[in-house]
Amino acid sequence: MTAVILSLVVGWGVFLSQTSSQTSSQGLVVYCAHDAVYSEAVLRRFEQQTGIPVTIRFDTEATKSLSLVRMLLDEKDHPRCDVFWNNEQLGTMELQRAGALLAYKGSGFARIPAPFKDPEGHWVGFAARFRVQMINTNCEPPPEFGELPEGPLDRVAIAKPLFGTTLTHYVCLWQEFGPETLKAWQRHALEQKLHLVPGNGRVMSLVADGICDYGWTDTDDFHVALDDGKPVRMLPVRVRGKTIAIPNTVAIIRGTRRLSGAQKLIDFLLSEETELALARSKARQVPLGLVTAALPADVDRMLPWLKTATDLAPLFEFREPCLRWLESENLP
Amino acid sequence: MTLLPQCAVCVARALVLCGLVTWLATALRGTLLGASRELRLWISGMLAVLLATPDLMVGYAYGDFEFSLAQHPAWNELLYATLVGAKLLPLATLLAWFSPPSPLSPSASHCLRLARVSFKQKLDAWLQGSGRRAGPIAAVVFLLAFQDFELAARLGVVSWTVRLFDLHAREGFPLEDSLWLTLIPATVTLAVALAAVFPLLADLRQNPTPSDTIGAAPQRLGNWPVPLLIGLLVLASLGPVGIVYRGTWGAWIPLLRDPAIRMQLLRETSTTLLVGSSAAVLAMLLSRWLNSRVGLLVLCLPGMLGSLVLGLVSRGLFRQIDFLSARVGLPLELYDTPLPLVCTLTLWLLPRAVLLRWALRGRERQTSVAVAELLRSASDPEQRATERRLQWDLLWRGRYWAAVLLTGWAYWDLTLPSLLAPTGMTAAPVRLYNFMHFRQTTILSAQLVVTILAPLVIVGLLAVLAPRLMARRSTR
Repeated sequence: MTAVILSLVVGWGVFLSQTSSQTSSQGLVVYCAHDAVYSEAVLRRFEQQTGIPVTIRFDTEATKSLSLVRMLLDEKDHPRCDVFWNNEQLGTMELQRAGALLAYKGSGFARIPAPFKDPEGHWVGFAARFRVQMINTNCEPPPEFGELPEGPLDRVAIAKPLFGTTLTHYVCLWQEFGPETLKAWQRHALEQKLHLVPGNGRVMSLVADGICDYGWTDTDDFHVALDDGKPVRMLPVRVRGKTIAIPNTVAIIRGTRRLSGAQKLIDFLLSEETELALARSKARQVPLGLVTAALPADVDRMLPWLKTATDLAPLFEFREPCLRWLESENLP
Repeated sequence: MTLLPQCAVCVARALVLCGLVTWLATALRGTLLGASRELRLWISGMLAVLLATPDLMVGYAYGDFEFSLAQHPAWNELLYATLVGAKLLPLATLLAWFSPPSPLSPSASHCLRLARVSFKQKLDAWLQGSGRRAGPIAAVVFLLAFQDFELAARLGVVSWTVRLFDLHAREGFPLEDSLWLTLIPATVTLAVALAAVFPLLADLRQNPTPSDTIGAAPQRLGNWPVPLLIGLLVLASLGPVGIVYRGTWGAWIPLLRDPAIRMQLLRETSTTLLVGSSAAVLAMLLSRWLNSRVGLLVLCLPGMLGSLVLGLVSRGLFRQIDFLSARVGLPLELYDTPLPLVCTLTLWLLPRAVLLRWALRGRERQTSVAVAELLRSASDPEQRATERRLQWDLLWRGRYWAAVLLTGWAYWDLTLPSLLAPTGMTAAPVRLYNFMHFRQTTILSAQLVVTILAPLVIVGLLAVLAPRLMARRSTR
């Protein structure tokens, strides 16, 4: 038993010494809601270029994680995080409203067009994905659908709209069509057996495998299916003619003790190099700033959609009432 | 659906499962008692494989298949219930094997069947007889089925645990609201747990005699449970292993060539093992040190609430401690350290450690150990080595495998590390889970296989080396 306890003590000694070197006074703590499979390589490149160690707390898919936005709000008075890399915009705006973010206008801020950043610099968007209608090309006849489709929906899937980009999608519908129309459609959709599934990844799988004819998801999930050789195509979701582009957003947390490193990371993430890397990743995220190098064909195809993208900032005021309604619905 | 109806669905499901699994486990015990040595080994091996198959792998393997059941929720429910039942069967059989014998002999039971007695009398006799053994097993199966979270989330079935997690993810309730939300499931859990735990704790205090573990003559039940066990093994273990292993073709060379992935796997696997084994050792020590029945009961109760409720409450509690300590000018900052995770894992494992101690109590016979210890002072090194070997056989082998089992549970738990791990510490299963929503990929399957095999290799090596090292030490 003594040997076992000694081994554990030595193990903890090694672990704690490694951890303390990572979270030294210069090391940055980054909360990252973007998928680790794409974002970790970017953050490691920053480490290599600057020599600043980065400790990352990742968000997890669907229900398996308490949201990082919620965690940052809870930690507001005693922040541990220096930089927040969110994979959408409205949650970051909630942090801004709570006074949890610090304004910074560095070199990256200037690169990004006005609709995708806070004018005061509390947060800046980069590398967007789009909400899309993903269609299985084997399904016959090809489905016809509008923004709020009618008829049988038992072969149609959407993620539970309580989180992430699907929530943004619903808030957009709420704003454009009004609450009553959306509520009526939701009732109809559930009566018509619309599949509400835990996440966008599952929507992608249902459509890719032909279990559903089509579904609403994001471009990064669509491209996973496409790379797998699945029979799928996509159309951008258009609400009153406008596409829904959801950028990553990045912000410095108020109270950071590593301001200089945090600013360097913000500039790095908003750089052309990072946007290009994310465009060339399997997620094919669309750069918001000017990129001079050649982009992959899939990304080129999506670039025009940016011109008709909905301005997400005005949606923020509708998010809370929409979310309250969705919660009261007790979705299955 | 609100939390209350979801709880009701889970209670109904857990009741069905506890009935079926307890019945099958009791039948398997009967088969084991009457089986030849070879068959007993085969059955034990199959149960061990079922027990060692992580939920994460089962969920991952069936993840794609489950999509095809999206149109058939009843079949999906059946698949889920079968997988949970298969997961719980080995533990139920283990408990049935080690549970105290019925005070009614088979001949007394037979006489009772022949006698013309009322239903109430028969029920009383059953409660005093077979029911005494089945009760705690059924309670444990009920609790674990009722609290399941990971498979339920992965297979998308109705479950209060998934609902509770959704509510927390959106609202991040403070501690008092968390406690309020968990009131209904906690009440169900505590009612069942208290009914199950008191008899176990009473048994723990008794010094078992050898006859306790021999029990009444076994009732020969035949081998009919064996095909059922094989079916469950294929469905819940060999099938998923096959799917995942098949998925690794072509991934091994890229995995071996990528030093970053190798290092990451090594770091995360070793960290998860360190946390898991620390919690397991602490839980075992606590279960042995605490002699007070009330003290043990109080410490066991949080763990019986399940990892989700325990994790959410613990998370709120440690944050509250940090907050209050900062207010009085003594900032502790415990929340973002490994301490909450290790402490909570220990509490979660404690009821299981008590169960295992209960199971092992017949094996660790103090008189045999004391007799073996007499050899320790022998002048002959061979005799001292024999003493060590006997100590290993009588005492440490059981404890070692109990620790392995506890470490395995902690290692594969997704819920507590995802709630409580500090920044920068990612448990290997949590990381794999994060990647799993991108469908099955070869490199992910290979990483999953490494994450499963690495601890198994260490466990196997230690099982071989530990008794030899003990014996060698005594010859010096």
